[in-house]
Amino acid sequence: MHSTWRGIVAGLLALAALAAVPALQADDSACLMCHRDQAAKGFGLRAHGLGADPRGEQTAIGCTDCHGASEAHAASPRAAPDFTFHGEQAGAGDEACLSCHSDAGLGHWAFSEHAGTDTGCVACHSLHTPTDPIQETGGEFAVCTSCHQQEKHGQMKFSRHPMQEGLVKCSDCHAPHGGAAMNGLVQPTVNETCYQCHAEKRGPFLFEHEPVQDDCTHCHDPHASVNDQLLTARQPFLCQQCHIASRHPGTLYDDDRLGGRDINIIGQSCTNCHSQVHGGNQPASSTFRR
Amino acid sequence: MKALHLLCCLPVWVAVANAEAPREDLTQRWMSLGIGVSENANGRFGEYSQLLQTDRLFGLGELGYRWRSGEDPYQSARLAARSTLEQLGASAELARQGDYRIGLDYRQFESISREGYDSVYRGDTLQQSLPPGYSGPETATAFRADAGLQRQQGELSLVRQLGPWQLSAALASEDKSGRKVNGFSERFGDAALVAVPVDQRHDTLELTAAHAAGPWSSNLAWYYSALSNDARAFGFANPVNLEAPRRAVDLGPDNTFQRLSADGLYRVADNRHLSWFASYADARQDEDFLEPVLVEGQAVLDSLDARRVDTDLRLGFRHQLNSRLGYRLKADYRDRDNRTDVIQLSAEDYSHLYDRRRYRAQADARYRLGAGMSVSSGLEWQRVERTTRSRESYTDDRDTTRLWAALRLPSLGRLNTSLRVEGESRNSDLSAERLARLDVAAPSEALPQYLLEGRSWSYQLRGDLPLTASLSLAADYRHTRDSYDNDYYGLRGRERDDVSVNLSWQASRDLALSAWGQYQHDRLDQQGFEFGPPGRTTYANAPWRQQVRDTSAALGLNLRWQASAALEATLDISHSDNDSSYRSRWLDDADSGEAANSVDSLPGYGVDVQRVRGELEYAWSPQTDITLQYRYERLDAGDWAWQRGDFAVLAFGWASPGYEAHALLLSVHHRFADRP
Repeated sequence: MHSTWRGIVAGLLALAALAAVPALQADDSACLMCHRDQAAKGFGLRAHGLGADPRGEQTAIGCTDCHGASEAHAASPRAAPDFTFHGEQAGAGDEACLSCHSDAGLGHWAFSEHAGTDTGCVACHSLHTPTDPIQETGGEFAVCTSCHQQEKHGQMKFSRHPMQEGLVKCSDCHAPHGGAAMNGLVQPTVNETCYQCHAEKRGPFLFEHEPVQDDCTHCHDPHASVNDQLLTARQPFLCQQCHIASRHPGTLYDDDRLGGRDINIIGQSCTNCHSQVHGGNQPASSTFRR
Repeated sequence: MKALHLLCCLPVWVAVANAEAPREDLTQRWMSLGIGVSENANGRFGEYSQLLQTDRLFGLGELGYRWRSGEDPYQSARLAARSTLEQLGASAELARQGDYRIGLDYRQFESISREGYDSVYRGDTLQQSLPPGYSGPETATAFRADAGLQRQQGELSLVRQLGPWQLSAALASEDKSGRKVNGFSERFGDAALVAVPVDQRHDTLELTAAHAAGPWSSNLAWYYSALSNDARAFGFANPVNLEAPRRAVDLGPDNTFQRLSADGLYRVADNRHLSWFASYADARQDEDFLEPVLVEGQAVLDSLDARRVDTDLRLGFRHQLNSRLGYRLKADYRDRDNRTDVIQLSAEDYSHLYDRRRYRAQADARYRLGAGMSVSSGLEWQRVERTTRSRESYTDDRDTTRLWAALRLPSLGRLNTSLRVEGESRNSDLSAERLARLDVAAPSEALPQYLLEGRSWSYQLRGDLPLTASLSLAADYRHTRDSYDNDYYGLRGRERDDVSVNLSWQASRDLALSAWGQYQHDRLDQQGFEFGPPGRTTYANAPWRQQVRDTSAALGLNLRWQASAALEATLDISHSDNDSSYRSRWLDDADSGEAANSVDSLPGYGVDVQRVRGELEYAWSPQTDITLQYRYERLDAGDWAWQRGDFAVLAFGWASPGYEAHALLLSVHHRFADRP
C-alpha cells in the first residue's frame, strides 16, 4: 500500500512538472518522471522541445531520439543511457545530431578539426537550456576560449581584434563545423578570409608584394599581438627577416640610430616611406612608397 | 486498486493531452533604460568602442520583442534594438523553422588606432596644404586631431526551404569612414606621416542553393564582393621636403571579386563519406591612373585592367572502420593566376606580379583504445610553386612534410593528460634566377622566409586534475621551435613557449571563483650583414646579430556570487604585462670597426593593461532587474619609436598611447508581462 501511495505522489509531482512545460513530448514523460530538472531548465522553449508541427511538416523530437531507447537505463537509473555524448562517446555521439542536422552547414563535419579531436556537438552547444549560450550575442567568445586559452590571453595584448566585445566573432573567420574548403576557415584561403573585412587589400595590383599575396599571416597574427597592427614582430625587425639586401634594409638598427631619430626606426619605421606595402598600382609603388 | 492504477497513469495521459492541445502565442517583451558616465571621454575599452559615447554622460537602452506562434510553434519573430557602450545596433528576424527565415541586422561601432595626434595640416580634406608662411616642422604650429574609423554594417539574409532544396541569399554592406595615419615620401629621407581620409563601402552578395536527398548533399554558391573607394586620391604638399612637387597620392581604386563554388558530400555508407569542393574566382581592379606611366618621358600607360583568377579543387574521404578506428584522406589543389601583363617603367624598373600553385595531400587516423585512451596521427605533404613575373619570370619550389601524433593517456587517478608532438621539414628548390639575386657580395632582392629551408617541431602537454569535488586545476604547456638552414641570409631560429593554468573553485552553491594565468615567451634570433653600408660602419658585409624577445603574461580572477535570491554579483579582474626587448651586436670588429661582440640594446618596449569589470544585478521584482556596472581600463605603454620630438622629423606626433578610463553604467531592465 505504501508503494502505491509513493506512486501516486510521484505521479502528481510529474504531473506538476509536465503541466509547467506543456511543450515537452508525450514520449518523454517516462524520462521526466525522474529528470524533472530538464523541464525546469526550459527545454520546452527550444526547437527540440517544441513538439510536432501541427501542419505535419516537422515531427516531434523526444529524449530517446537523441539518447537512444535506453531500456537498461529506464529499468535501472544506475545504467547509463545509450548515448550520453560525454566521455568516450564525446565524438561518436555526434551521429545522433547529424542524423537530422545534415544540412549544408554540417555536411563537412567529419573532416573538421573538432571532429578529429573528439570535440563533439555538446562540447559547445547546450541543448537543455532555454538558450544556447554560444548563439547569444557575445557568447561565442566565452565558449570558444574555454578551450582556446591563447586567444583569451590575446585579448589582453596591445593590438587585437575586438573579440571580447563581440564585435568580431570567432566564426567570422573560422568554420567550427568544418568548411567546404577543409582548412578550418570560412573562405578557401587565409587571405580571402581577411578580405571579407579588409577588401581594400585585395587587389589585384600591378606591383604585388609577394608575402602579402602569399599569406597575410607571414606578417600578421590575426588574433592578437604585443606589436602594433597585429604584426608578428616589430618593424624594422619584421621586414629585416626577409630584407637584408644592400643599403638601408641591412642596416643594424640600434640605440645609436634611435638617438639620432633615424626615420627608418622611429614612427612607423619602414612604412614611414613604404606605406603601400600591401601593393599598389602607381609608378612609385615599385618600392611600395605611394 | 484499478482506480489507483488509473491515477498513476494520469500524468502520461495529461502529457499526451498537453502535447496535442492548441497553445497560445508566446510573447516576450523587454526594455532597458539607463545612463552611463565615463571619467575619460577618450578611454577606449579595448581600442574599439568609446567613440560612440563621446560625451561624458550618455544614455543606454534596449528594446526587445520575441514572439512564438501557439498554433504553429515553429513560427517565431524577434525584434531588438540596443545602444550600449560598445555599439549601436538593431536586428529583426521572422522565421519558421524548416520553412523560411528573414533576418535583418544593423550595427555601428568605432575603432581607434590610437589617441590624438599632432599634424601640420588642419582638417581632414582630400587636399591638404601647408599653412601660409610654413618653413618646416621645427617651427610649425601643431594641430591636434583624433584618428579612428567608424564602421556601419547592415545585412539582409533570406532562407527558403523547398522540399529537398534550401535557397539562401545574404546581402551585406559596410561603410568605413574616418582617418588613418599613413606615411609618404618623395625620396627616401623625406618621409612624412599624414592623416589620410578613409571613405570606403564594401558590398557583398552571396546566393546559395543546397540540395539534400538520400546519400547526396550538394551546394552551389555564388559570392560577389565589390569595394568602392570614395576617397580615391589624396593631394598633399610634403612638409619635410619643401622642394618636392605637390603630389596626388593614389589611395586605392575600386575592386571586385566573385567566386562560383560547388561542394558536396556523398554518404557511401553510414561509415564512409566522400566530400568535394571546387571553385573558380575572378578578382578585378580597373583604374585610371592619376598620372600616366612615363618611360623615357613618353606616356606608355594611363589605365590598368588588372585581373587574377583563383581555382580550387579539393577531395576528402572519411572511413570509420569501427567504433575504435577511423581515418581520413584529403587532397587539394589551388592555382593563383595573375593575368595582368608585366609593364616596363624604365630600363631597370618593371612591375612585379606573382603566381602560386599548391598541391597538398593529407592522411590522418585515430584509434580509441578504451579507458579514455586514444591515439591519433597524421601526415601532410605540400608542394608550392611560386612564380615571380617581373623583368624575367622564374619559379621557386618548396616541399613541406608535416607529421604529427597525439596521445590521450589513461587517467592516473584523477589526473587526465594528453600529449601532442608535431614535426615539419621544409625543402626549397630555388631557381637559378633567384639564387643569382642572392649573391652575398651584392644582394639586390629579399629572400622571403617561406622560401627558406628549415625544420620545426612543437610539443604540447595538457592536463586537468580535479583536486576535490569543488576544486579543479587545468594546465597546458606548448613549445615550438623553428630552425632555418640558411648559412648567411635571413633567420637563424624562432622559439615560442606558451603556458596556461586555470584554477576553478566552486566554494559553495552560491559562490564560484576561478583564477587563470598565462605566459608566452617568443625568441627570435637573426644574423645578417650590413651590405653596402650607408651608416656607421664603412666595412662591406659587416655581420651582425639581432635578438628579439617578446614576453606576455596575464593573470585574471573571475568571481560569481549569488548573494541572495535577488542579488547577484560578478567581478572580473585581469592584468597583463607585455614586454619586448631588442639586442644588437656586431660580430666581427675587423669588418665593422666595432668592438667584437659589442652589445647595443634598444630600449625595451612595454605595454601593461589592467581591466576591471564589476556588476551587481538586483531582481527588483520578477519582471524588473536593476544592474549597476563599473568598468575600468588602464593601458600604460612605453614606446621608443614614438616621441613628441618626432614632430620635427616626421611633421607628425602622437600623444601618449596610454590611457586610463572609468565608466559607471546604471540600467533598469523590465520584462513586460508575458503571454500566456
